[in-house]
Amino acid sequence: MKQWRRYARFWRQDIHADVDDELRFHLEARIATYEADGFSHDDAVRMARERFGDIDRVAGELVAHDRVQHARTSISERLVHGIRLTRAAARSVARTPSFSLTATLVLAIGLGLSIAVFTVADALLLRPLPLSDQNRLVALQGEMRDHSLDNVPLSLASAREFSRATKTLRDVAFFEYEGSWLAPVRANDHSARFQIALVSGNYFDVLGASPLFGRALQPLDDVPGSAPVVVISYDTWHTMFGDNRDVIGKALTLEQTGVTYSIVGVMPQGLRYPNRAELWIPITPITMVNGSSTAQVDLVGRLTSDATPADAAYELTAFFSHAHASRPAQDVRAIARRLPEAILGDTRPAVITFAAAAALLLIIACLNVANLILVRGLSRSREMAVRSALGASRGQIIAQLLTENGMLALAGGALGVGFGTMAVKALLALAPHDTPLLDTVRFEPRLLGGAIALTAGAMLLFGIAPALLASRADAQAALRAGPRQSASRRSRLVRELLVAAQIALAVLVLAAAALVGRSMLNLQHADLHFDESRLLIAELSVRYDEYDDVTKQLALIDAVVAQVRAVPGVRSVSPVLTAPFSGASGWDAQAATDGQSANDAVRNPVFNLELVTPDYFATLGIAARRGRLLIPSDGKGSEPVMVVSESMARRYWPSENPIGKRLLLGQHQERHATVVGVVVDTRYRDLRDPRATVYFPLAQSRFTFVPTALAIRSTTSPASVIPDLRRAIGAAARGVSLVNAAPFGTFQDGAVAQPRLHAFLLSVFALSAVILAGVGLFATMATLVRQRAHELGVRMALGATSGQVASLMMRRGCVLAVGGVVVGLAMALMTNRLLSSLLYDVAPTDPATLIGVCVVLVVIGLVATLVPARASARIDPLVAMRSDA
Amino acid sequence: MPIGSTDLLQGTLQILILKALFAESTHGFGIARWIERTTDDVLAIEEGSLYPALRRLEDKGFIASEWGLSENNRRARYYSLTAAGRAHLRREAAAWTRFSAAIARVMRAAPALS
Repeated sequence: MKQWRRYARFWRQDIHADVDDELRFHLEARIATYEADGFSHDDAVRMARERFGDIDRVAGELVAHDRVQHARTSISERLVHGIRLTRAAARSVARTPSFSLTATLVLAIGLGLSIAVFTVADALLLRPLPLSDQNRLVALQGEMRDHSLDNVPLSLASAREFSRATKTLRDVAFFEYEGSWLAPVRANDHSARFQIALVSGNYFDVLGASPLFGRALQPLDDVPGSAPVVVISYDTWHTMFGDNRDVIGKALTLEQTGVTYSIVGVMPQGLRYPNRAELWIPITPITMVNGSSTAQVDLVGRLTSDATPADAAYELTAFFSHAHASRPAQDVRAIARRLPEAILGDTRPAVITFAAAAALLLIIACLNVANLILVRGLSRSREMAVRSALGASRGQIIAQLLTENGMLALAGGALGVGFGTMAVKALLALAPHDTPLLDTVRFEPRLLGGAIALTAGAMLLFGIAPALLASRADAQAALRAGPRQSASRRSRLVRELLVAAQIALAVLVLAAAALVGRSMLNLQHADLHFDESRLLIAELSVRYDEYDDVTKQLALIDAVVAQVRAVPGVRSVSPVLTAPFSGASGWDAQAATDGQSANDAVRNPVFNLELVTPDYFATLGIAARRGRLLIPSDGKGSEPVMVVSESMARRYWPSENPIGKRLLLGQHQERHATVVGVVVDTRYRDLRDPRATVYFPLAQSRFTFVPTALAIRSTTSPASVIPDLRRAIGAAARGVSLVNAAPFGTFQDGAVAQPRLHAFLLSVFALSAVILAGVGLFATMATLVRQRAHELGVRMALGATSGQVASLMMRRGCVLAVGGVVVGLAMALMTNRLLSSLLYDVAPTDPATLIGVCVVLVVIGLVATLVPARASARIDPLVAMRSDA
Repeated sequence: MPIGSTDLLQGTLQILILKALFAESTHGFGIARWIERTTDDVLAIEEGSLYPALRRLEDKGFIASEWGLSENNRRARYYSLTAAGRAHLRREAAAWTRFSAAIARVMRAAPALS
């Protein structure tokens, strides 16, 4: 018989080999009887062959016969065979319930969490917007080279000029600086605040966005005097008009201007650009003042077929040198970002981090299941060996293993999908409302399919590994020796590597979670540098068509402040320009110091601007560090003064006493103000970054804008004051109302919401990863103890104490745990810098955090090893040495 | 004296096999040994011919086979009688008895052989 046929016997019953075996057995038995009768081996062989006849002819006959038989196996027989296989697999699975349950659960957890994160990531990162060819669209804006101002807009006129001259962009549209702003809108006799975007007439055309129904804005809508029209977003249509199809033609009134707009179209789901806009209004009519538009705009354009975003940015940078009269060209440059990236903004790093964490968790889960399967494979090696000896081809054994593992994969997959669905719902509920594109999250079958296929594939692969590893020789040895020696060193090493790998990955996930968690805590407890207890912020809505100049607006504010001061429960009140944590939406300014030329002055850093009454400092609880605060006598007729913050003083007058120094303000530096006091930098405007601030007395303001919010310190709980507050404001004058009032804590919670979500999600991942890795280590150590029971029994019989045996096992486990932790630490040090955009006030390689993580995992490793080690100490040497199973 | 398989009718070999398996379920070599012992080595058949006969018997459904481990842990194919096989054996045994009785009467008939 040809030897190679033996190796061909892999996938199905090899007829040649079977025939060979049958005839060989007969021949060798006959030879044995002749030898027992005293014949020499050679004689015996010769005689046996003679007696048998023509062995090759007989073999050929048998093979031919068997082939024909085999081919006749009908479909229904195969089906019956398949059912039998499934039932046998099911029985086998049910025989080891702890393994089956554990494997299914581990798979379900890893799969569920991964599905949830990938679903969300898909909506946020991967799914295309309802625009045509979105990757050819770029958002362009200017920024100061020294990053003192991160958005330098163009005037509408300049923007139009650029759009005529550009060679890198086929079409250009504009929208108001910063994208959109929140303003009260009345529709259906119901007033609410919406994000309103002012856009050019060709905006939707440039984007390639087609309305769901109705029409988009057109250039003809964007000329002075045209009928006021508005396009609404899908979500606005859904929440405000209840998916009612006859919304076209309905009226929307902008409360600040009193102008009523007619709805002409509804955009499809997923379009909320720029800046989460919910309503789009033509920019030119609304910004007309004295015959020309005062709009300051950012650009979005469609690249020509051979231009890149960098080309467009370069062109716009060059254009800035002609556009801005007040700033020299060299200091402003343009940046261009492809639209999908621009929209996602800074959620991108977070989503990528979670996707990575989910992938790691999935890998840990797969490794864990692989380990479980290998362990189980070992304890079944005797069973496998017997079956192999009885003629089951490797193919048949593999088929059974595949079926068993397939059933577990199916169960784990089904459970994982269910779990994942719940997790997605939980994620959606927990995410901050302003996460972009959050409402487009929905289940993607291909994602589900992908994740399941991956895990099932891994499971099946690891399932056949034991069958592949075992060779024929192993099978014979296994039959003779029993299971205690069938754990080959190779398979033990593989399992230990798997566990160490899980621990290493768990270190990564835990480190990320710990760092983000610390960031969140740092943020939550960041010192605001003012007293936020009993502080209330109220936002006002003013009818700007009634109060159409600054004087009237200032008088209005004064009246309101006076009324509010009289409200019982209010200790002090001051106007503020914006609500807290407005960040980039606040007010900035730049000024020259005495003796600076205009050209030099534009290099000065930009600072926060506040227009306040003297009560501001008492209301917020800010004391003077040097000099004095503002006082009532800092009024219209007296010397213009200001109070500056410490970093402002440091940057404008380094190593000098700022008191008495002057700043020159205005287009031609025609105004000035003198520093009378220095206060600490506060985080009112930005939780992450206390900024240089200048406080001007409202009474002396020469600016064209006025505060639209109030900061109020109450004597009792802030919330209790709100109803009286609302009445007082309403009563103060016509055309002003309270739009939003909340205790300061509410704003603070909003600012921390996203970091808190990140920390929460990562801790879920980390906890799962650590549990899985710990369970994996425990299972491996327990198996090890069981398999080495014989050897340990011998040791103990030879005089080793139970303590020594236990410490032997402990050492093994600790080596694994520490090894895994060290590798994980190395990986963390290399990759953690990718986290830095998520972190606040914590270095990605923060030693304290990393050491803490390592300690936690080593301790968990020790605990996981402890129980099996103690079990090893309780081995009865006699029983162990005799044991065969 | 060995009798070649060509001297025996196919059916005869099959009856021998069935009777052997009626005595005990065994492998091909076991069948050969049983025949050897029972006929006192008179019927030393060409052992290779057993196997095609076993296949044919299995095709007809008179015997069933399965792989097992021999006494010394070697892989071997074991055969056993089915119910149909048992019934066939009984029928054929009756026919053989009648046949051999008829031959015996012929041989005993006059004139007698010395």
